[in-house]
Amino acid sequence: MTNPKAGWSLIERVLVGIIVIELIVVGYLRIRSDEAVELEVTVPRPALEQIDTLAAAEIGALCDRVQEALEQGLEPPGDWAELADAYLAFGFLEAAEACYRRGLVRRPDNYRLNKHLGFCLDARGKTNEAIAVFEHAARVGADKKQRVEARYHVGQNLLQALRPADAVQVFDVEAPHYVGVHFQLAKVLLRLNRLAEAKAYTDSMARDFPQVANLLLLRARIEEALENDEGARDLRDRVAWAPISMPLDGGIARFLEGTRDRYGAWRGFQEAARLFQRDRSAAIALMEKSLAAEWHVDPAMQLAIMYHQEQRPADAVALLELAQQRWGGAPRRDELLGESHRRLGNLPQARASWERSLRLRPTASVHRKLAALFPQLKEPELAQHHRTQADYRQGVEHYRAGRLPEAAASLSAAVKSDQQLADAWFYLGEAQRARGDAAAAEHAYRQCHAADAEHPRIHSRLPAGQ
Amino acid sequence: MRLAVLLILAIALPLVALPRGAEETTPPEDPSSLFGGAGYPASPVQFARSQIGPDPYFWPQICNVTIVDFDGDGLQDVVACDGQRDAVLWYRQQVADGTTTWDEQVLGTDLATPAHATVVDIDADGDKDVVVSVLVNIMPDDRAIGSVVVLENTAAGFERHTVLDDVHRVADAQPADFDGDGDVDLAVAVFGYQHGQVMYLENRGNWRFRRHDLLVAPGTIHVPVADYDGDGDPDIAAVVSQDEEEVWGFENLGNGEFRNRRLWFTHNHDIGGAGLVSTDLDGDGDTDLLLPVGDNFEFSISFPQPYHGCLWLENQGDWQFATRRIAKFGGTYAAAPGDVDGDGDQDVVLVSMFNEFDKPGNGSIVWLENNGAQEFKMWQIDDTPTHLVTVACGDLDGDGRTDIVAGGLHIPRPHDRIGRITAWRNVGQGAR
Repeated sequence: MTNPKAGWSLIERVLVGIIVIELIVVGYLRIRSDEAVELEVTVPRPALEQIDTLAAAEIGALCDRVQEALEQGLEPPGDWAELADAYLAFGFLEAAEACYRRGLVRRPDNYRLNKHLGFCLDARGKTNEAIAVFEHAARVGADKKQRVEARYHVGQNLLQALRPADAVQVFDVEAPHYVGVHFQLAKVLLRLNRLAEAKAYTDSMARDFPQVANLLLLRARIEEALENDEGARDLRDRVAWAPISMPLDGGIARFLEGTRDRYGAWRGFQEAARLFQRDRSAAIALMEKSLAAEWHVDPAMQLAIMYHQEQRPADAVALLELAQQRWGGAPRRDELLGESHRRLGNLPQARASWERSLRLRPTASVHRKLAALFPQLKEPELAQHHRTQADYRQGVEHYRAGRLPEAAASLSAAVKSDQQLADAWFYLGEAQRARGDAAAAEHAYRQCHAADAEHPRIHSRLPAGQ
Repeated sequence: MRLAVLLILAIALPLVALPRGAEETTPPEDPSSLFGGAGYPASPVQFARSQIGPDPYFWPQICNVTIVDFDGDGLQDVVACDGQRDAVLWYRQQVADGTTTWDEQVLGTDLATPAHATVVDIDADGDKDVVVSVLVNIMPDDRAIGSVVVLENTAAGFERHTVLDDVHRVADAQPADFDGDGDVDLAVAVFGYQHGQVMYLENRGNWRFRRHDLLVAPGTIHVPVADYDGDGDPDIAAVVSQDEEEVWGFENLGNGEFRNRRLWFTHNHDIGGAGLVSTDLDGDGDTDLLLPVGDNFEFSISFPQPYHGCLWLENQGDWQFATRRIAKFGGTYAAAPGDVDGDGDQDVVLVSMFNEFDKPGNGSIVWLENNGAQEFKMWQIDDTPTHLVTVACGDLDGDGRTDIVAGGLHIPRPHDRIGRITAWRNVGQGAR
């Protein structure tokens, strides 16, 4: 038996030596092992040939860079995030998730990586995991703004998981940075029939956003649930011409679009738009190259406008006709097509394009163009018709934008030209009503009724039988 | 004692501390993710696929298909809304020497993104007219750009009457005599974006319609009309899918008066209500509703979600509807009832807009076999073409079996299996 007070025996000294050696070896092997784990990782490579060729090349190069770094035993975590973001923005969700997870190995408390992994899991339908990741993001957020943002996404996913009571707990925070949180909270509270709480939130928001369509609608629903029918009706009436919507969270959409715009053809479209102010030829060349890689109707329209501004109407016509074949008609495209034809001296084609634009959707702008064109086509009576229509449409556009005096002026001009234009009388009544001039509004409504007793909406503005 | 401790340490240290392979960096799979995009067992009922109309060009945008004997010649035709051509098209079926051809006739043009075409004799002159719901822009747009156009069938062709304009984007219009005055009125779904309504348009004669707003809510997609309460007059149902995800009922009280009721809602405002179809699914004599859910067409990434599929709103009388999920199917965009297997009960055909089509074999069209007790088994009909948004059932070839027609809207990738209008002819069980 060994005396504890005695010195270390030989066998004990040998064992201590063995333990020290074991510790050194274990430590060494662990370090090597960690490196080996990382070196074993192959960068996910989804089917990039599905996306535009320019973006595919750039993202492919990014893959190569990350792979090369891994093979050299290096691992710049930023590259994982960059690659993951690119994959997510182009819809390669599985690959994006793998990259985010890899990036988080070294930086588990990185807010941005956690948030974006949350986006990715949300998009893949992995709701419960998304909740856990956003909750972690909320814990590691650097400031209140980040924490509230992450909690908002927790709440959204809780709603997907049909856990509204939990969502209420999560949304119920002081949220000066994120008005969408309280808007969603009020919606959930209304659905849960917690009306007084819902009303308190919407009343508070209404002070900052008095003319927001979806907030007015939500308030109308709350008043209706509170059986305040008159209040609900008043709010619903205001929805009809409320010009804007609630600034809800567009974080995911903005992030995806912003990331997409950093690559390939979409970056080309953005750069060309900026370049056009300085070097029009270079901008057009960049647009053409980008459009060849990724055909999309919006940049095609952008390029047609560039052609038009560069006095290349024939190129604009060719591109707009292609856009029409591929994507169908659009009032604005037909308007530009007509303008390009006019520049080329093809007046009948210009007329046809503009008349088609009006059939798709009438606008003051196209009516004015036709009003200017018809004298050249020796049809002055049609010019007058389009001038009147232009005033009427302009008045409606002013009214919808809340520019009531301008609306009244344009609509008055329209009815002066054509006393029988019932629609213009109706909107003149609407504009006067919105301005608070009840007598002028009633006069306009009566004129509308006199011009067309079957006007589709006049019955809602005049007492029955009138 | 010290010796024993040292001995244990020396033995245990390598066992405990030596690395044993890679750290698991991926957590266990979320069970919900097992759904995702998927293929399903092959249908025991066999179908022969064929194309109706011209070959697809670029990215087709067929917004709606309807099977109807449009010219009354005893053969079923197809009426389609083509957003790429801004047209409503009639594919007239012709059979000669045992060969079927589909002759294309244009019913109306310059109808920017026609969302829906409903065939009805609206002027009671004995022929079929077409009510067209005009969206104008398929992408989100809050301008008052929509309209309802009637294409009147005349001896000289189809005459265009705009019966509603000055409204936001219109997604659907359905006919019925709501006020009992003997003419055809319209229920209208104004989808809009931030602004939208459900309307009833009262027919005042001479192509004039008086507008009555029944509900102010953006995102109304369909307004199927049926006598939901069995009192003999037509009522309206509506699916709202924008700020809220809801189904509404509008009880016809007579004289053009309606009472609104919310029939269903969910807290999951991402569920993606995509349409609403009226049918007596359980054959109990009242009208139920099918609610396909799977519209995820909001961001640049549209991925099948575990909550996508089809809900059945079973009519239990007195405006009470019990909701039951009858299918999980990623990106479900449309549903059509029909007796696919000919066993006398109603089955359901579903089509998908997003089912992770990057992976070959993931279904774009399936049918739900009803065992007669409203328990459903899902069978895959096809994985090609992809991105289907509209579907209709009918007996195209007059053989007594239920055939299917669907339309494709190909904006998201992949673009390797594109189709415009596709027919699946039912050739029965075990034969092809």
